[in-house]
Amino acid sequence: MPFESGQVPQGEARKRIVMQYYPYLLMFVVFDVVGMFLFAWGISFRSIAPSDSLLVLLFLFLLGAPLGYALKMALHRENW
Amino acid sequence: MVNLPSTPADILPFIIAVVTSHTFITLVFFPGFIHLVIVVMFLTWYERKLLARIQLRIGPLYAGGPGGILQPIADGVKLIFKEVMIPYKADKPLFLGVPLALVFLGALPFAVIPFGQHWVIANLDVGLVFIFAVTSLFPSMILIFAWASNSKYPFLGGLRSLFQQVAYEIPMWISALSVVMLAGSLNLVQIVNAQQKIWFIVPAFLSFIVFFIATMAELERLPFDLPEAEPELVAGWFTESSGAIYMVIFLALYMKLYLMSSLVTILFLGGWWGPAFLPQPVWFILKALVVATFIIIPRGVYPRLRVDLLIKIGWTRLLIIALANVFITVVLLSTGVLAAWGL
Amino acid sequence: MDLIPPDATFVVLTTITLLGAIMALQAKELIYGAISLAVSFIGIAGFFVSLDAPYLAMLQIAVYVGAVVVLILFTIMLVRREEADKDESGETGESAAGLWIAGLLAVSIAGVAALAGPNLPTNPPTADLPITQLGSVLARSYPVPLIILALLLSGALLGALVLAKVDR
Repeated sequence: MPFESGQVPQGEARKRIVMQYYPYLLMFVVFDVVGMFLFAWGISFRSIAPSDSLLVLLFLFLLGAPLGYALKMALHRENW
Repeated sequence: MVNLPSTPADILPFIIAVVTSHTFITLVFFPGFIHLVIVVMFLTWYERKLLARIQLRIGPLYAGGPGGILQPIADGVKLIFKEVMIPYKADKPLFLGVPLALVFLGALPFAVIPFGQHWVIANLDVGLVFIFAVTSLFPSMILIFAWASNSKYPFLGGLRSLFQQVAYEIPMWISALSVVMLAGSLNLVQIVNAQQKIWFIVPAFLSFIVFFIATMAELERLPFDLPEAEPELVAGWFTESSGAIYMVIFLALYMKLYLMSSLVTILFLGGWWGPAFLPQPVWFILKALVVATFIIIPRGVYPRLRVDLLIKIGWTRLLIIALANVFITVVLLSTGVLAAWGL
Repeated sequence: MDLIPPDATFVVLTTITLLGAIMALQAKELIYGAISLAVSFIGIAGFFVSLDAPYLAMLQIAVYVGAVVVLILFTIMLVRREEADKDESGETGESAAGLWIAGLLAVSIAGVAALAGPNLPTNPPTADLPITQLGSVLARSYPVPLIILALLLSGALLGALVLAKVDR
């Protein structure tokens, strides 16, 4: 029997899970992709022109505002 | 490549050729299978002794040898003989299969970790990303295992563990990005070779801090211990595992500890470079053990962080510091300040 | 007509990928389906490796198996058991439709291959871009797709969050 500190287990074990941290999961999916792209940039950083690096930094910067907004939405835990 | 034996007289030379080939030696002895098992068992003893000394106790003493060094073997024998209890209506194939997959995934990245200039099993050009890809499979396995044990405590613990590990993956990747920019390659041997003159902990110090903290969170060690919080969740996502299953999960966790310590030494502490009076792999293992010590010590010292604060810190503070270090690295590399050390 | 004989790697990878995909649709327990889907993704990563694109294979594993499968598992665990256990397959004649479409596809591919004749490629295409140049080509030759990618990712993230929000 499942362990519940010595008591008889009550209720269905696989209840509905709370979705409190769901936005963090979505952010992880998006920034996973971003991270892999940044690794590709990081390898060739020293052999490309600075203007190309600036482009990738612009790419990163464009994702900064949505990151901030998503974090703000994630911190309001009562909305999930 | 050796020729396959075509006559019975060829079998013995074939076996000798295979056994003495470089691949076989690295795969089985060092840095492969046997070395991994020995070091992981040593780490379990080491952690218990270290925590005991911090807490003014003695730790394992009676299991044999000096200071109870055979304790892990005694633990292993005991756990093998314990009854494996599968919870009521739990998912049996998953419950038995996921721990094996965890050990497999914990040992797999060791195929690309170099312990010396030539002591590596498979020197992939994408080595670092390979390690990150494999470690990103851990949260999903833990979630499956937590779901498969049909019980509330493991399920909650599994969810918390998932969110915690997922929250600290991205700061880890971004801080490794600084190292990749300094070294110019994802190949682990080249990353270590680029640290011949200066260890990357010096130019990328903030990244080192972020990476170290993220490592402690990935390994679920205090102060990030909530998925395993003893007064609250009994033992977190592996509450229902007993006997051999617990031993397998335990092994997987300590393999991950060794893996992360090795990764920290490769990325930041100069890998195997050191004064020549000790061979290179010895330096590597010594440095990895020092890192492991600093990962273990906070377990006996710090209190635990609440889970939502933990996740928040991973996504806000650590990510900002890691990104700041990427910008600092960009500035350092473009202004050529580090040219004196060959970077 | 010169067909490329399939070698062992190709056969193994195809089996893994297709079996994983079929099992993902047919599994009784949804979690098994998600795991089979993960196996299928790993098979696709194997294809990338066999085509000389190891970086893409690692990206596939890290993003798909590491993040998307986690999201799918999370969603599966949110679904209530009674809804998940209802088995409605077989009622709408979907197996027959699937077989019919698969047959049409096979016939059309065979027809195109027969018509192309000697113009079929005899070597599988390989990526001849070493990994050190991947980032430079990305930044130098594809600036516009990079920026569009940033906007697309932001849009997807914020859109998903806004849709899933519950205003209390």
